[in-house]
Amino acid sequence: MELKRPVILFLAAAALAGGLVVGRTQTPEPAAEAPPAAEAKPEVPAEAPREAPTFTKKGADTCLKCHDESSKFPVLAIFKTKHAQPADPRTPFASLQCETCHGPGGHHAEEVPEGQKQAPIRTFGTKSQVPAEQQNQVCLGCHQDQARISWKGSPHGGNDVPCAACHKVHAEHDAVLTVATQPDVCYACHKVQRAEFDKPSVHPVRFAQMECSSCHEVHGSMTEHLLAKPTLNETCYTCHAEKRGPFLWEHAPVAENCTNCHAPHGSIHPTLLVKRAPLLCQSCHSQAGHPSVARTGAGLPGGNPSAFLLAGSCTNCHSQVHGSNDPSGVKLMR
Amino acid sequence: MALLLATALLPALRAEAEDPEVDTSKWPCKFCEFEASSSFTPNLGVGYVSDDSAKFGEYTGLDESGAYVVADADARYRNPEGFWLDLAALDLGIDSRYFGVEGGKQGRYALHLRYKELPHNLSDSATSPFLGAGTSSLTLPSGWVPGATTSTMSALNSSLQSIDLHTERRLLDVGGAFMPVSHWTFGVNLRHEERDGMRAMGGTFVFNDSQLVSPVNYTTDQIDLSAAYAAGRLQARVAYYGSIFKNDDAAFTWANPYIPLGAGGNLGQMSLAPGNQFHQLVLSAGYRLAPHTQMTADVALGQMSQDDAFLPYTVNGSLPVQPLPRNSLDGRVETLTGKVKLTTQLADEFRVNATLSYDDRNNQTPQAVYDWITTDTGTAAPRTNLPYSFTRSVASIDGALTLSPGLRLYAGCSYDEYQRDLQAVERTNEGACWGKANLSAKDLASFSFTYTYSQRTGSAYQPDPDGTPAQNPLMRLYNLADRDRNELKLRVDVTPGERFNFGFDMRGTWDDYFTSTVGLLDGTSWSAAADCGWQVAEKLSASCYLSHELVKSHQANAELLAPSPLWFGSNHDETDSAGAGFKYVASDRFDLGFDYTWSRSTGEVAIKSATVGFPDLTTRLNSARLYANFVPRKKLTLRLSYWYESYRSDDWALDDVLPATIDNVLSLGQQSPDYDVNVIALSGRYEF
Repeated sequence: MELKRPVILFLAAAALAGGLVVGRTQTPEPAAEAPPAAEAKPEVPAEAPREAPTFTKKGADTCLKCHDESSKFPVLAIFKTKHAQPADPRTPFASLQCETCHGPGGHHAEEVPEGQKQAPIRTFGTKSQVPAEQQNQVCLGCHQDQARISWKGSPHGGNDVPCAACHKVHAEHDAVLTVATQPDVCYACHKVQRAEFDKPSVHPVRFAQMECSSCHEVHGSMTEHLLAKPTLNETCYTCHAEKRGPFLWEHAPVAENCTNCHAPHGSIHPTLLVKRAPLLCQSCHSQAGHPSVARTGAGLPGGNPSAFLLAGSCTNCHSQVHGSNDPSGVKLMR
Repeated sequence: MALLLATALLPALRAEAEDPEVDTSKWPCKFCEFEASSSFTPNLGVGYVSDDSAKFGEYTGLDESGAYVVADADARYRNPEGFWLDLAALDLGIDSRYFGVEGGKQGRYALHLRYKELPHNLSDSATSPFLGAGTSSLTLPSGWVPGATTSTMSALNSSLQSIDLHTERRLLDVGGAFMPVSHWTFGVNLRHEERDGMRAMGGTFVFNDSQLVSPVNYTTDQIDLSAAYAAGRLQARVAYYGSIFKNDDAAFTWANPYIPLGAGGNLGQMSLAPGNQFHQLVLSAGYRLAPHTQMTADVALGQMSQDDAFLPYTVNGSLPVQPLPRNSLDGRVETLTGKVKLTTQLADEFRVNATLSYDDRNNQTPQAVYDWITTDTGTAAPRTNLPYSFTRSVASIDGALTLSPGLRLYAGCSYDEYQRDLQAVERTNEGACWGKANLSAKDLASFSFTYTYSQRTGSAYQPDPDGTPAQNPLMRLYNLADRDRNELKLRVDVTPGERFNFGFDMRGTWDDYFTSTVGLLDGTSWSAAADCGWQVAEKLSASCYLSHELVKSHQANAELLAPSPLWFGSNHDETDSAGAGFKYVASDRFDLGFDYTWSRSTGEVAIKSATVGFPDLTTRLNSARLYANFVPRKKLTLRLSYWYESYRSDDWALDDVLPATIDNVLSLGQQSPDYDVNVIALSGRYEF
């Protein structure tokens, strides 16, 4: 197989990147086993003030004096989550409690005159002033595991989407982890996809029977569109294994890419087809005889009802469009 | 602002780096309400569905009118040693029920067992004279009078029976994750899915067709085994994935409702999806080469196989039949995907990603000559099977340059090459380049604009190797044809205050198949969507969205190998969708919510030269949901919900097409669905 061009392009890119990387290796290496909070080292101008920060005197007890359920930022629900499990040494509450993630809060906890704001503390989310990459370093300090091998440079990771844009760490039930509520979290950015699931022929996302992560590996995937499996078709086959084959008589575009004919998020045509038969089939089939004949409205019930147009259209006869294993299934009719 | 904050935070961050030893002896966490208890919260009640509708209940199971049981439950257990157990039951009273239990010791192991049912109600308007729907043998009633056409099947109307086309999946998922030593995670997951029911499938004798009801009796078993390591610079995972599909029915037969066109032509046989297997080994790894440089790689090696025994060429004993060249296919497809990605930050303001991917589908299925029989009716010229293989190679590089905290520019290029066997084009190659600008004022708004241009060309178009009858030599298959593609994306997010946000997303793709004269000529898809969120008051929040989508294409085709296109067709779909909702939390004891969705679609199919056109394909959806939660006393919540949905659709392929409408198609007579359904439910939730 001809691989020269892509390989050359990649090697050139890698050489460029690698060469420049070598030039940057003098940058201090983050400690491999450092506590998560220590991984987050935002690079800031040298002229920044050097006042030493302090941790709070009483840890979470200091924080919870203010951040109870009546505060603007209530946090008590975190004690219903896995982050608040001191018996698990990996969790924030087995370490520096709130300050494991939020950093030293001594200044933030200091009382200030009325009308003045508290000193800032590291916060998370799209409205945080802390750059997303630095927020995410805190999370990845613990969560850089098998599910996030491909996070770096992925569509979400590479576009500075903070983890807290999707995850609500202080909520008892993180909406993005529940089938019924996950899509609304995704729709906050993926607005077009919300409307696609309102169409008449869809996967059952609108009915809370499927979630975006049923097909997409949102923390990074090497497959296009962040699909969960190594190829698009393999992702589809996890639920539609009957279409996998191999068949004796294959339909070439089917074996190659399901989206040649299907719109996976939804369509106004049956079975999520990108358009309906016969025009869909006639986009590729012009064989002599009936495949290349124009089917017009004259073939509707008021005229001369046509087998090529109505009911299943082409699939009235060619019903095995995904492939046939019948020795007589050459034309996908058996 | 961000700079100021970073400046303010600098000392804190330095302290963490320089002084990781923190005296926490005076951090008793006495206000920390660690969960160390158990709870059980059932939700029981009754609901009522006003009308039958397969479309309304397509996936929910609320397809039949009448009362149903509302039964949900949650249970939790936590103890100070880290043991936990969660139980969830959802919609136990309807066909989309779910039950799951998971638990373990946090940081050591986690186990789960989940059971899910998923209905797919396809149609409740089908009728058929065939007996035995859902089995492997469709027969006709005694007294059936075969006809040359459907209109001469004199016993048809008296033989019709209603059939609900539907399938149901039942999925059992059992597995666990184990962390016996630090840095290592081992996983095992087993999924067993049964899917049964019946669906429509066409069957034909030459040009005399019937829409039949084929049985669905599938079983799919999937297994995932994995071992993952993550520490320091390295994350790695090796995994095995296996999927075994079985079909209880290799085929089904049906009685010919027409007057047979030849001797023995009174029975047909249709093959069904053969059992198959897929086994795959996946190795993934990420390694931080330098503080700002990550290398990620995936390799997946797999094999698809299928070796079900062949059916005979025909069930028509009157036809001369040659022996099969083999008893089964011994179909094998070797798959190999490999991907490598390098992500590096070359400077504080400049990041680069470079990716190389390789995807090979190597079809090793043996070829043979098959002396096939056409539609159990007659002999045909022998054909050789064509096991398709392809190899795809993609290389891409992109970079992001931060010019200021509020301005970042991106650019990238990719090269995508396919090599295919046994198809009209041996090689296609597509080059693409794109640019993107992100502007943001972090507190107020962000703006993003992306433009992509790509062009696909290929090697010489060859005459169809599968050609009897031959393709028009001018045909260019749209997945192989030369193509120019322009893509635009625009996104705006505005947050003028803490109480209001507005977002707008627009994207469009314009395709030009610039060397095609027969086949797809061009395609356009364009969509725009906006949404908003508004915290109206402390207790009242509202949301809205609005979208429009256009998908259209033009194509040409030519009858009987004419040298130039004789006719042009077009497809023009438009979809509008809108929604609004609010949530009002009056107090700890009462809250109320409302969501409304409206959607409509219109599809125009046209043949340019036609004197008789097509009516529009239309759908209209209105859906409103209202709920209220009331807490009359501690731990008890009463919930009242109401859901109204109306749906109207017109589809010229179905409407007024009754079983005998088409002379040579005995159809199922399905009509496009319309419904008005009200669902009301009252339940009580109590926390023990």
